[in-house]
Amino acid sequence: MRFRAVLATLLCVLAPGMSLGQTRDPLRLVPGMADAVVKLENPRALYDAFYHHDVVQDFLKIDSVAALYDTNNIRRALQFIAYFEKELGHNRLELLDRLAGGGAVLAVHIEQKKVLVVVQAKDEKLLERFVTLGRKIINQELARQDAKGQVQTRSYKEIETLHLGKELHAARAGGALVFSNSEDTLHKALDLHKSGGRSSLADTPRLASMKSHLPAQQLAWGALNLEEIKKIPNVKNTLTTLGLDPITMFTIGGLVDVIKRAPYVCAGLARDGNNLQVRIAMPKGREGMAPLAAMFLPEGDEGSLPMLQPPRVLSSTSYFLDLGKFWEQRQKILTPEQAKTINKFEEQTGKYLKGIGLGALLQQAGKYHRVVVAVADKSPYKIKPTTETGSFAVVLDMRDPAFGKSMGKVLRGAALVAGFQYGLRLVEEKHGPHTLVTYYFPEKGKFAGDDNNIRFNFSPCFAEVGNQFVICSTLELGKDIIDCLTKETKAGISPATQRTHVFGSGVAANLRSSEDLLVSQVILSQALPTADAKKQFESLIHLVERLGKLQFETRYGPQEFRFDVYWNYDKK
Amino acid sequence: MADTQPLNVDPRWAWQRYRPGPEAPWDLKRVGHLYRRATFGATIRELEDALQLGPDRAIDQILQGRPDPDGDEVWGMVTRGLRQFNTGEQLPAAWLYRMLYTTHPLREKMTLFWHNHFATSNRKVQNAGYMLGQNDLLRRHALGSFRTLLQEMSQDPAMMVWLDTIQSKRGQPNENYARELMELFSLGIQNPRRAEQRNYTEQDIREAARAFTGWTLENGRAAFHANQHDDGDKNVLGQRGRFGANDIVRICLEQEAAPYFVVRKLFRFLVSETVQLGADLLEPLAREFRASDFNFGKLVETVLRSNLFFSAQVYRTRVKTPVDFALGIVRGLEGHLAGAGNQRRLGTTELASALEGLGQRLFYPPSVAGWDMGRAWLNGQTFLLRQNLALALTSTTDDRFGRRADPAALVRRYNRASGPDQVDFFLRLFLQQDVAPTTRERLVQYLQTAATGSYPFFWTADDAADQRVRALCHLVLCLPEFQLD
Repeated sequence: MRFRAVLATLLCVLAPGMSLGQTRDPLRLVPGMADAVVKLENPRALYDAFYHHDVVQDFLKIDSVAALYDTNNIRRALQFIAYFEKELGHNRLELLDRLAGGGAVLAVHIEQKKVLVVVQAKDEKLLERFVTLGRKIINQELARQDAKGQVQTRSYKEIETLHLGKELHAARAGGALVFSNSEDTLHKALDLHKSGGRSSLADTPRLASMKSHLPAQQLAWGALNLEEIKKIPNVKNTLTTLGLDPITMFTIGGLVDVIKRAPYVCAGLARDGNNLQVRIAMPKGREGMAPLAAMFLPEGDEGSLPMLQPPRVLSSTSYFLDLGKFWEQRQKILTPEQAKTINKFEEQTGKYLKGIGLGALLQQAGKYHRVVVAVADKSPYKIKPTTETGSFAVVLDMRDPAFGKSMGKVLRGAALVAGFQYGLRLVEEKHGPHTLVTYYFPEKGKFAGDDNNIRFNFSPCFAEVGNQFVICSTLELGKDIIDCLTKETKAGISPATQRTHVFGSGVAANLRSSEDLLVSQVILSQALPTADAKKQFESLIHLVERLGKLQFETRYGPQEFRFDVYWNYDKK
Repeated sequence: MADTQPLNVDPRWAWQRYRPGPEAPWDLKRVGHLYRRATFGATIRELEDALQLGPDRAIDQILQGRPDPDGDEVWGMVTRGLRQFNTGEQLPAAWLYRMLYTTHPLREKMTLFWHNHFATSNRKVQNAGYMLGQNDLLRRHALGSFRTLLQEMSQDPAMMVWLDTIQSKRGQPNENYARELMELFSLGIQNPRRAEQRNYTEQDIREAARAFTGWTLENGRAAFHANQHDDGDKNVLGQRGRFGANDIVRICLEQEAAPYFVVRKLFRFLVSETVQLGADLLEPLAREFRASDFNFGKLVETVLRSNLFFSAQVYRTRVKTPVDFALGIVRGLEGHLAGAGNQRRLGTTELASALEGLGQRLFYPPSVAGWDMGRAWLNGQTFLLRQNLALALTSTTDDRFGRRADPAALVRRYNRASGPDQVDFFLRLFLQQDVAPTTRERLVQYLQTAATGSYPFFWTADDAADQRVRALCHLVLCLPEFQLD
């Protein structure tokens, strides 16, 4: 058993890296019936993309991270690799290129629980030596550990096959090394080898279709046959439930609709310099979507408003969600029971929201929403909270100017109640031509249940800026958001219906506000002197600042769904 | 460790100062005993130095400790972070860090004693700042005045939350603190000399509870509200008056039982968990404790310097607590010292987490009575977990601890190259060579057999030799004798 682990380790080390000249596609040995497949197109490039990335290199230079790589386990892994380097006469990266340079594929038949791994070498002779050496070592190790049995050798269609127990079967098919947990699956791969790959996965039209949705120059990609997955009772039930639940309907309703209709989902990883992109795609989009589509998808190309990026921003989200359309079409979207409940809720809320019904509020509100989280800087209070929290803002566009008045009434009403209870003070102040309505906590007197003065992180406020209604947790962020809104142009509008940006600089600033805690954690976990722990903290902050920007985008094309993650590394 | 046994010794001899002699020489066995009980274990150098110093100076060193400005700075930094974010889950690691790196281990050990005495759990308090405040209070008086400690404990925020003093108002007194003050903190239930006689009555508790009314917390500090305090006459333990909180503490300490109660608890902690204690044996100590106005440091010194402390009757009559077990290994293997070849020091985050599995989560005692101690620490599961922790610390392949407590590096540092030398080194370090000869023989045999075994094909001869040393050290730490204190 231990030897299998050793062998698996070796494969893991070797698999993620290869790519030199033209070799045969390992997919030619994967039967077309595979439900899930992951392929490393260019393992060496994948290795370089990560290991040689500036951030990874900077990360490895942090003392405590370097310590993690200085363990006996890592030393032994390196000794293990060094043994193969010595025996096979090449360094590890050359071995990677020569033994796995043609790519590696992992394929799974989910229902039958069968797994197939194909690693395509560029140097067939070296592969042969590697297999011979591997077999020798396995047998030695099995004998050393007094394990029962040795590697068994059999033959299938004049190809030598190797077997260890009932669940590890392997063979060398020309320049490819093939492993499976099922002898039958191994034989199918060898049949494909003999037939030149006819009716293999490489031969199916679906493969070309999948790859057309993915970014060019992929380092790795994978696909999952949704038609098979959706036959699994639990998955089927989950999709049905998700479609009916109001919360998931508002958050991932569009995605669930696409999954229900799509035959497969695929994902790819690509690199452009120091930037990386991951895309998840499905071959179904807005065409054929259920009635709720109107809620998630704009009629034109204006999917989301410009990203708001005030100073010290940590994350910014902009998305489309037409709650007015939801209200209009609620009878179609919801089950009769749900529709009845929400109608009743509207009658109730009208009594509390100063006569403004929920339906009216949703229809007056616009289709575009933005949420910003930022690191707080200046505080209007003299008292400092023990724990500083970030600040946040919600910006809603208004289809009808009456929305601002309605929301204003609602918020003032709520604040009036809170004011009685907590003594909140209302102040209306001007920022340029705009009026900010702000509420302050009193700094004198007791406040039950807040020994740590957390309340002094908040000075909630709201304002109208053109057709945008702004609600903020702090006055400072309120002013910054107003500045952003007054400067923004249509240039930042995107067809993506949901976008989120996370900023390394904001995350770093947020971490800095927890310096004592983080330095303490370094001291407690690594027993470093305080000065060294602080130095490490600074290295971490510097690294996070340089992480740049992480972007998430969702787009619905007529016949395609895409979810992209971009990591734009900041080289500064 | 034998079951509870009566102790037939002369009480006067028991507490007289220990003087080495032919029958009780100052040997490594006694040095090890002293360091296990009064500190958290020792390095081989510390043991050998103490052997050279003799008992008086060795005990002087332990009692005085050394100033630790760096440690105080680290403690300030760590506790500031924990208070700011109320991260209670890191409290055990923080204190364990202080225990491991302190230059005054006796103070930390006695702080641990008081933590178990005034057992307060953050499970209910839910405030890291309050818990650290109490911990500092315990440390401040760990070797000081028990009277002052008990007075201040009544207004300690963590204790006020833990035993509901903050809910105690005039007309609605909460009895929890008053009850535990008498039962667990100062008197105990039974009279030390007349077992049939109780030290207090339910009426005493009800009356005393009224004296603790009116105290609440404001901005994290105890605050007194006279309008919530029951200022009426109270009748407590035979005294009558318009008592407040401090009066009740004073009255408790005036009782005959008070010094006996604390002395007995200290005896269990420092001397023996198994011997049966008669009031006669405790009387000299109890008398001295009261005469010194409850000077606890003086009491500890008397115990540590006594004949009884170094006698065969109390040797290995305690089960190591998980804290003693783990820190004893780390300190023995010098995991707390930065070594040659960039050897890093051991942190305590993972260690604290492992101790939770062994049954001791600092700042989270199981009840107001503290941990059960003694044999309760050992059962099939915890013994296995002790073996696993010893393996994790010594194997160097467990990424939680890495090579920070590497036995192979240690024997190299002390030039122990041969198998028998290495066996003797670990037996001397951890058990002061006090094991049956057959145990030593079996360990030597193990090394001989292991040397003929085969190792993974990519290992060097040094890898294999180091592996054998680590396995040897693990075997020593799994010996039954090492589980005893």
